Amino acid sequence: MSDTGPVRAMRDVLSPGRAGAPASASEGVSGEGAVLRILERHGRMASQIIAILQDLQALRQYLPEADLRLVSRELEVPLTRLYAIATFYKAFRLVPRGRHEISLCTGTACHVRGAMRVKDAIERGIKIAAGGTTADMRFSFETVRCLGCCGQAPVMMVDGELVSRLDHLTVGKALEKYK
Amino acid sequence: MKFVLNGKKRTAEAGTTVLDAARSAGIDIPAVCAHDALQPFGACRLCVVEVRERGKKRPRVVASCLYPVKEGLEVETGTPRIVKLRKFLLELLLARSPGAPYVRELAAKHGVTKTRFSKLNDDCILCGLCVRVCSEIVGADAIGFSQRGIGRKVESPFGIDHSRCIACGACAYVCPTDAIDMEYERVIELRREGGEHACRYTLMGFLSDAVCSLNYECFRCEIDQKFRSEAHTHPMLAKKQPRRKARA
Repeated sequence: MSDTGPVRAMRDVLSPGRAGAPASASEGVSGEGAVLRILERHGRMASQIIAILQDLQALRQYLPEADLRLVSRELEVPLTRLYAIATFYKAFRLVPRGRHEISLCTGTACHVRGAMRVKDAIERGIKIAAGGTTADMRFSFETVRCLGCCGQAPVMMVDGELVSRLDHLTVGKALEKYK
Repeated sequence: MKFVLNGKKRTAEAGTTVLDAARSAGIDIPAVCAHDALQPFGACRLCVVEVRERGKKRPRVVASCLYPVKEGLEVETGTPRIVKLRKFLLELLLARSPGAPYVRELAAKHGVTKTRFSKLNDDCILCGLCVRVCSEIVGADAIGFSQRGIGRKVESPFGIDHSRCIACGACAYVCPTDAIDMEYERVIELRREGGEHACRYTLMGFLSDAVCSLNYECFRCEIDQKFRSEAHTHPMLAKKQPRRKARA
């Protein structure tokens, strides 16, 4: 995309100071250096944006808004673009993970055996929708497709541990031990 | 470049899209997401045509806004197959935005007045005109797509971020279904925040260093009135930039 005069001028108005030297990898608020190092590792190339976001998520466990703004500013990639990518791919998350991760299977077998009722029960129990994290950071809850043990349906994984033959009446109790 | 359009021999420059070539030959192809000032996007798919490349047996269905004219290409714009596809797409649009007069008229023009699908009542048809105007012409990148599939929508990052919006209104102007409302009250507030901001015409490159003397009430702005009445377009689009790249 080539820049014509007024457009270029406006971009400078919108993000003043960007024309200056890029911030060095050592300075900045806590953690900014680590993000800048990720950018350096990928040659500060906008074309590497997905790899950069993956590394950023590996570092932070999710994609914090502040870091996305930093990446946007440093690589001159519009924040709208980063937001589009981060919301398009399921691998990226914009909310932090809780201490315990619940992955509820909603694959065919689990679905047939009432996974959606279990989902409703969990959502009511921990008061967040699938894909979210509780305010006290206790649980992250997401639905997944198939955990590969349809014979135990319906199933969920909590912190990598399988909880099988669920039903909507007892799932709350199963989650109690995770503090 | 020689090609055949609806049985007639035509010539067009290399890099011309089939849509442009057909339109300059006076053939009407419906296209919602195509805009002269913007890069082709291929979102609405209403511009589908049948093409048969040289040496190929079967015709293929392609989006003409993205498909470049090729030597010896045979294009058909109104075959029963195309008409059927177009009607189907219009039914989908009608189901999504049954309340939008633009969609209803477009559908009716092609003989679609009913839809078999359940209605959604979202005026936004995700044509991406607003997103592309904001990015390609305005250069602000204040709005973009988010999510995907049935959840896809146009919004600003994190839903509330408006820091890059210059309130030029180009998105609302270009929106075919009037799905974007300019919140003038908020625009004024936005501009007043933290002292005086440059006039949007300054940000667009029309004026130098102007700070709005009208309290950012754009409807009172002379430049605005002039553009609307004389150029019949949005100032940002009146200043159309030669950014349309020839596609190889």
